[in-house]
Parts: sequence; C-alpha cells; structure tokens
Amino acid sequence: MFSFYLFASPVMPGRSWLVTAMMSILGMLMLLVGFILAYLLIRRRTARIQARWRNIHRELVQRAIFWEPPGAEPAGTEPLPGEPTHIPVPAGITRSLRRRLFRQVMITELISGKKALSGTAAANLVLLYTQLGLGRDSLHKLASKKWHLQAQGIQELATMEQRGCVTRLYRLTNAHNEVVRREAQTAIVQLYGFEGLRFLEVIDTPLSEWQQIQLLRLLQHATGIPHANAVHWLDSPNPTVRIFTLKLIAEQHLQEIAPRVLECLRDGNESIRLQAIRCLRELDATDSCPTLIGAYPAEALAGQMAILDALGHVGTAAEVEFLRTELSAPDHRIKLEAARALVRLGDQGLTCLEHFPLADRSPWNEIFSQAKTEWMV
Amino acid sequence: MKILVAEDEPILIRTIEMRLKRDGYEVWLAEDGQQALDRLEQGPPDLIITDIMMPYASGLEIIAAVRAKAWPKVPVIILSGMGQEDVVLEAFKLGADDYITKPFSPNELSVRVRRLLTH
Repeated sequence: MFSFYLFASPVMPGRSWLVTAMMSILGMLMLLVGFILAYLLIRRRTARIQARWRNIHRELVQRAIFWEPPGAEPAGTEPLPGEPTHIPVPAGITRSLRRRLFRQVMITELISGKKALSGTAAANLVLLYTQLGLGRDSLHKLASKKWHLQAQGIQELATMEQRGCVTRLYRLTNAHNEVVRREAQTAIVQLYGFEGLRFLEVIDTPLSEWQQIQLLRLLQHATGIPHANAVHWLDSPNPTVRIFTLKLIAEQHLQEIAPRVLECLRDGNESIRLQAIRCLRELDATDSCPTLIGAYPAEALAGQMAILDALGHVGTAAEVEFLRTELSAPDHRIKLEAARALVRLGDQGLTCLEHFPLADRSPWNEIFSQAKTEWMV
Repeated sequence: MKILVAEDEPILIRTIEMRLKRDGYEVWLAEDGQQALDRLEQGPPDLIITDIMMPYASGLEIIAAVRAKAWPKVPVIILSGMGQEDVVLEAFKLGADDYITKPFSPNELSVRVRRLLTH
C-alpha cells in the first residue's frame, strides 16, 4: 500500500505511467487466472458429463453384446408382431447422440469392445455402430486436414468392418502423410485380404519395412492370392512394391512364380536381387541353382552370402563342387557360409568337408567345426 | 460357485461379469492385479479368470499367489492378447489350466468355465 501511494502521489507525477503499467499487468494476470479457472471448471464439468454418459453408453454396449435377433430364438418361436429387428436404443441415448462429443464416446466404447470380442458379440457391436449411423462420423474424419483424425477415422472404419467405404479408404492408400497412408493400406488389407493389395498397383511412395511386416502378418492366414497379380506387382516401378511382392511370394510359397522370381536376379536394384535370392530359398526351387550360381560372380558380398545360404537350402549333390571351390575364397565369411551350405546338404557335403585338403589347418578347421556345431544345435 | 474375474478393460470385465451372472455364477470383480490379490486374501474362489497384462500385479503374479496358498486346486483361465505365446507358456508353467486369446467370444468363455468347473 505504501509503495502504491508513493507511486500515485502527485508529488511524483513522472511515476504515474509505472502505476498504470502495474495495474494493467495486475489486471491481465487476474484475467488470465480467471480464464484458467473457467477453463478448468468447464473441462471438469465436461469430463464429469462425459464419464456419466460413458457409463450409460457402456450399458447399451453391454446389452448389444448379448442381444439376440428375433430369428435366433428357439425353433418354432415366431417373432411377435412389432418385435424389434434391430438393437433397441433408449430414447435418452438417441437424443444424446445428437452431440458429436457423445457420438465419439459411443464410438470409443464400441471400438474397445470390438477389439476384445469376437463372434456374435462382435457382430452385434458392428450392427449397433451401423444402426446409430456412427460410420458417418468416422467418414467425416477422413476429410479432416489433421492427419491424426484421418488415421483415427480409418482405424474406426476398419475395426467396425465398414466395407462400403472402400473407395474412400483406397484413395488414402497413396496419401501424402505416411501414417494416414499406412493406416489406409492396413485397413484395406484387413477388410479385403489379398484383394485389398490392389493399392500396390498405384502407390508411388515407399512401403516401409515395418509396413511390409504388418501387411504380411495380416495376410498370414489369408488364402487365394491371385498369381497373375503377384507377377504384375513384380513389374512395379516402385522398388519397395517389388521387394514386398517377393516376400509375399516366399511367405505364400507360390512355386509357380519361381521362373519370374529368377528373372529378378537380373534386376538393377541390389535389394531386389537380395530379396529374390531369399525368396528362391523359401520356394525350395532346386532348378534355380544353376541360375543362382551364374549370378554369383557379379554379386557383392551380401548377395554372395545369400546365394550360398540359398544353395544350402535348395541345392543338391550337383552344387557340392561349386561350394567346395568357395571354401578357398579369400574372405572367411564366404568360407563359413560355404561350409554351412555343405553341412546342410548332408552326407555328400560332409564328405567334401572331410576330404578338403586344408581341413585340418587354421582357419578351415575352426570354420568347419563352427558350421558342424551350428547344424547340430 | 464363485468366480474371480481380474481384467482392467472396463467393457470386457462387465461383459464377462454379465455372461457369468447369466450362467448363474457369483462373480467377484478386480479391475487390476492388486485388487485381485486383495480379493484372494478373503478366501478361495471356485475359478479365476485373469488377464495377463494388468496394472500393479500381472496375471502371472496372481497365478503364483494362488498356487502358493494351501487351497484345493483352483482352476485358472488366462486371457491373453495375440502374440503373447511366451507369456502363455509361462502361465502354464505356473499352473494355469486354460487360456483364451483376445478377441474372444463370451459364449466360448462360458463353455470353458463350465468345462473346468465340472471336471
């Protein structure tokens, strides 16, 4: 108080600006505190309302999970006239769903239930989602400029099996944002299996390693991959699409495509050649050995090691001689890989190792022992 | 028959509760691992259904706690997520009797519960 009078005193008129400034700062501070308090109050109130409605919505979700359509009643029991053919929703909840906030609460509850449940329970949750028209909200998110909302919308539509929105999802498989693109690709494959991989024909952005793993995991138990499409994807100008296709061919054991995979050994891209070698190994394509050996001299170390590894898996007695020559390669890593391949080929390979002239000298004795021990383990 | 259900996913625990109550069981709910352990201090249930990943104490700790007690064998069903094979094997080593992978059907769970309680 003293200082206030000191500053406000007419004896010191030059200080009045200071008082005004301090008052303004004080006023602003009070305004800020008031604003924060009001914000916290509104937030708390909203959270309370949301929690109350979440519980109400949760009850509806519970009832939906155990809902049985009239047709599911024991044989001979006809549905009564006027009996609901869809999940009954209390009027209060229907009214509450006019607000976007509550619709999102409901979507979150349904998604959470759908992820944890299967069978009729999960089907009922999808039915309720559709019945309440919540798909419109998810679709609306796809049009958002915020990538995280787009990604959320995609996830919601995929989880709730909304196959009708395939066109919208398909468009986003080549989106500029990586997360959106990834979610859309995953969603399409989740909904349509191999058929969903049509996006491989149009994407001009790279498929990340992680995304490739994700897609392969989703397709693990899928059947009926169209061979013609796989061959077509191997011609893609996008190298990551070609690499993914080779992984897919290996995973699905598409033996019929092996001749086309062999052509990939002439690809200008080293990663593709490497993947093709790994793919041939998985395909157990014995007739590919001469081509693999033919490609060997032109390959860098990684490619040569991959070829030796593949020969160990798909090779026969005919490859023993080639592998024996590689035991004399200057690089010890090549020596070890060739020894591993020979051990894998069985008796003839083992005999070759035993009769190798330098078998009892270092480093061959150590390398051979290592290869044999690995095989026994 | 009393069944202890330990699961931290609200929608799931209520669903299991509803299903088991419909089947005529008395249901004890625990929304985290510690609640389940506390509940076990009050006496043995006839069966336990437990999630593996839960706050404060995991499903594995619950199984270990049950097996450490001098009770007649209480059957345990574990709820696991996909790709938790190692944890499921660990649970079996500790003495779990059955497991069910999420997502699962409440009807399937009901059948498994009935099977374990009648054997």
